Parts: sequence; structure tokens; C-alpha cells
Amino acid sequence: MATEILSMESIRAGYGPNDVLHGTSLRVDSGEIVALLGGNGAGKTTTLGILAGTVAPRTGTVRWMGKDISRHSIADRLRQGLVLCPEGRRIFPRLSVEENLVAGTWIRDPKATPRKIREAYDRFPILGQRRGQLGGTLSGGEQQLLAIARALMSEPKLLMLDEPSLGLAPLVVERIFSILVEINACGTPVLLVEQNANQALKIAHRAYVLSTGTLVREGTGQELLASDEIRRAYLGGD
Amino acid sequence: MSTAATLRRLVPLALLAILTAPFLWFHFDTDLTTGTPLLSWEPSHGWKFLKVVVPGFATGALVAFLARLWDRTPRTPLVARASHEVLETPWMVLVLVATLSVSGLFLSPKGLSMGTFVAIYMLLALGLNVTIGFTGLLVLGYSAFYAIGAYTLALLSQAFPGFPVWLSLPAAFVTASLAGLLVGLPCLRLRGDYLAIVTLGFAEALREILRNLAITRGDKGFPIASTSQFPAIGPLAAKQVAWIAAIATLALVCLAVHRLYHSRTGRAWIAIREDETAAAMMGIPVVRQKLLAFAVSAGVGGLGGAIFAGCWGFVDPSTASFEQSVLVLAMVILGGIGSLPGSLLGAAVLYLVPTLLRDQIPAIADYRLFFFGSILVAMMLLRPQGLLGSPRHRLEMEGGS
Repeated sequence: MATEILSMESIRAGYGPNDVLHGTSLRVDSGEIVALLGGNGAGKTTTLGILAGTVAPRTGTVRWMGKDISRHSIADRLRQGLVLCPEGRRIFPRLSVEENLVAGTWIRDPKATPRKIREAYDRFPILGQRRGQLGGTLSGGEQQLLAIARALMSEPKLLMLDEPSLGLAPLVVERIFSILVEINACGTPVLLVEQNANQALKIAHRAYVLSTGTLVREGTGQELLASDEIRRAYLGGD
Repeated sequence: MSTAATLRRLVPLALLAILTAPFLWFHFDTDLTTGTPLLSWEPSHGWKFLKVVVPGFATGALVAFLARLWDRTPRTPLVARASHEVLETPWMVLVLVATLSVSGLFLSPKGLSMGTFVAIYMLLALGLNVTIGFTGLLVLGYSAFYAIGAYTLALLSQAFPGFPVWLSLPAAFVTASLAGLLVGLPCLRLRGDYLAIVTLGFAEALREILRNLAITRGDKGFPIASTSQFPAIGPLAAKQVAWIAAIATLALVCLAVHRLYHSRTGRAWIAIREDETAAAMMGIPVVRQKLLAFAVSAGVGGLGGAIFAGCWGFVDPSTASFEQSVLVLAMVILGGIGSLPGSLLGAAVLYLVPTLLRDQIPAIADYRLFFFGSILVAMMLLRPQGLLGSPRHRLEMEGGS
């Protein structure tokens, strides 16, 4: 039976005088892949910011394993296993692939780093081949792999990803999504923010649709894929 | 870089040389009584100039060339580590310290004091490199920390007559670090240019304070009691002791900075320089790490200042001058931002060349800044990453990504 591991309850948040989220709630259960969909400016990235600790909520609570972590720092949340792979990859362009991976281990025991690096190269052999190369010289897809590998170095108990398909070729996107399925199969729940709703819904167990700061739809991936309304609004086509 | 591209870069360089050349032979001056400009022709100047500069730059170019050969890393794929980092190994440092210390017995007093100054500037360049090179914090008022170190020794020698220089050195490190923390706390919320302006303002303010406080004796400067300067020990003269102390401190700081750079802390600094937001997302405590970099950098500057005060025996507010900050910044840039051996080389070249020149041709002092500028322009054209630049910055300067 799936148990709830992360939830946010009636979160209001925003920047300056404007609210981006108007009392939004969602949850992630153990073992799930949850997709968070929505157009530009819907509040997807802000939601992840609230969960990861980069954005402070105005009201509402964030619960992790039943505990209120609304006031915890980014580092505290990382230590508890709440890891965000940020939008636009944000790898360090002038650090080598290996140094990028090491950067992901800051909050973990350094003694385990060599083992984890070996594991990362086993999982992503292409990164092993390019270990000494500077991050900025990798292709977009390789950079996304590196960003995911770096997030895994922080030993996530929940992996959050902000638009991992951004600017990548369709074939590469498929590869990235199959990697997310693999990671999930190993027991790590995944919370995925995407514009590429079609792909995301195919791998998601559950999904939320966010529109201008309000959740307008919730359901299983299959339900949402089948829904005409959703197709028209977010998936494009007819 | 292709041959054609290299040649294209030589064009502005040639222009620069043509513009500079007249200054080698002509001497511009003003008659102080009548105010009429004087122009005199000094045939010997040019040759004297070339006698110093050509060997100086031939050495610099040779070192840069060797570094390039040594740095066998292929251009693509780019590798993040240069082989010349071998220069930073502890053994190398030990051998250097030993040789240099022994050489103190044979150097003339003038050579000794020049050597001590080279060591002091090397310390400053190393220290500034921690903020600018490693952490990416542009500090334009570095001379403030140098002055704080120098005045720490001066004030201690006044408050406690006979206060030994050996205790003043760590004290200067501590006070300068604390000053670094104090400036750092409010201004580390700023990035880039804004931080540069604030640090510049701090140095200027400090200079004015030093000029106007009674306790620092204002513009007249502050002579330091000989009992608080470097003492003569046994057969060693005071100057020789100062030289050995400077070399030993430099070696110690070299090792410490090297260890820091290759530690977790150093990696955090580089991550912050690369992408502060991403670093924060990795859980790196950005503010604390920046403060640490600031404190280490300021402390090393303070050490340099204290050694200066202990060996020169006199400090005045000009130690906190903007020119001093720019000089050290130029050393870091010339040697190679982010590179330890680069900072050392940059400091040696930029201190020794103008000093030797001034000895040869006193009139050249008027054009010091002019030649300085020319050197930097030439560097930016020919080797923008600095003489011994780190490959990371080479990538940045050459615009690849």
C-alpha cells in the first residue's frame, strides 16, 4: 500500500505583490511518478521551489514523511532526501563531469563519493567516457544526463525534476524519460514538472494540471491522456 | 588558434609598439619655474629600456611557452586540470624555500629588500586570487587589508613597546580576516560589479580614516620602533631575517591555499563562482563559504602588510591606495586568474620589471602606468588567460562553451 511521503497543503506563494500559487495542495506517495503539468506561468516551477526550499511560502505547510518542513533550509531538505534537479539543467559548465558529480555530494559523507561516482558511470557510461571533459562541452542531452546523475549523487528519497525535456530532441527526450522510469523502478518516487505533457503522462502514475496557480485537474496518467478537455488545453492537437 | 588569427592579433600589438616607441627615446618634462613643457632626446634611454625589458619578457614568454608545452592536454576534448599544477606540489615548495633562504646569505642588501618585496607581492597576489580567481568575487579594494595588516603591526608596536614582529604577523592575519568578515557580511549580498564598488569604497574610506586619525599619525606616516621590526638573529642581519621570514610565510600560505583549493572548501568556492544558484541547490552554504573566502583572502593580505611594515619600518596611508589594489589585481590577471603558479609569476614580473627599469632609467618612473597598460593590453591580445592561466579560464576567455 502506498503511503504519502510528501505533501503541500493550501500553499500561497508569490513574488513581490503578486501571488503565483493560490492555496495549492498536492501530494506524492511512495513509489510513484507524479507529473505536474501546466502552461507557462502556471506556477509549476514555483511549486517545486516551495518543495525544495528555494521559495518561501506565504501560508500553508509542506510535509515530508509527516513532518512539517516548511521552514527548513535547502540543505536540510537535501539531507532528508528531497532533491531537485533544476530547470535548465544548471550543470557547472567549467567543472569537469566528475567535478560536477562531486558537487552533488556536498551534503553527503565524502567517503561514499568514489563508490557513488562508479555507480553513476555504470548507469550512464557516456559520462564515464567524458569524466574529464568540462560540463559545458557536453551536448544538451548529455548535460541533462549529467544533471540527473548529479541529483542522484545527493541520494534522493524523492527526485524532483523541472522540465528535463527542455530543448532536447525527441529521441533524447525518450531516453531521459526511460531513465526516469528506471530510477522509479529502483524505488525512488519522482515528481516531474513538464510542458511536454504527452510524454510525461505516458510514464506518470498520477498527474496534476495547474492553471494560473490553481489545480484544475487531478487524475491518473491514463485518465488525463484520455480526457478531451486536457488534450485540447495542454496536449495540443485535436 | 590558427596562424591567421594569431597574425590578426599582432596588428593591434604592432600599433601599440609604434605608439609606445617614442616614449623610449623622448623625455617629456615641465620646467617647474616657468611652466614651459620640455622635450628632450635621450638616445641612451631606449637601449637601457630594451636591455631590461627584452630579457624580462623573453623569460616571461619562455615560461608561458614551456607551460603550454608542458600542458599537453589536447585542445578538444577539454580537460579541466592542467599538468603544470605539478608546480604546486609541496616538495617543489620546500625545495624553493630552502634554496631561496640560502640565497639570502649571498644577496646584496638591495637584492634582499627587492626579494622581500617580491615575496610580499606574491603573498598579496595569492590572497587576492582566493576571492577573484577561486570564488569569483571581484574585490577592487584589496589594499585595505594590506594596510590593516601593516597598521596592526604599527599600532601594536606603539601600544606595547618592543612587541615582537613574530606575534604581530598572526595578529595582522587575525585583524585583517576580521575586517574581511566585517566588510563581507553586508556586501556579500551583492554580486559582481556592485561588490567591486563596495570594496573599492571601503579601501578609500580606510585611507581617509588613516589620514585623519590621531592614533595613526595621519599623512606623516608611522615610523615603527626598531624593536618591533624584524630583528637580527645571530649571524643573520635584520634584512636577511626579513627575507627568510617572507619566504617562509609565502611557502606556508602557498601550501595552505593549495590545500584549500583542492579540498571540499575549494570545490565549493569554484561551484559558487560557476553558478551561485546551482551551488546553493547542491546544499553548499553559499554565504558562509563566500565569507570564508573573504576572510582567508583578507588575512593573507594582512600578513603581507605586516611583513612589509616589519621590514620597511615605516607605514603611511598610501598603503591603502587604489594604485596598490590595481597593481595586485594586474599581477593576478597577468599570471592567470585562478592559477597559483600564475599569481606568483605575475607578482614577480610586475614588481621586478618596473623596479629594475626605474634603477636603470629613473625618468621611466613617469611612464610606469603607461607601460603597465601596454603590458596588460598586449596580454589580453596574446594570452588572455594569463601567463600560467588555468584551463577553466582559458575556456571562458576564448569564448568556447
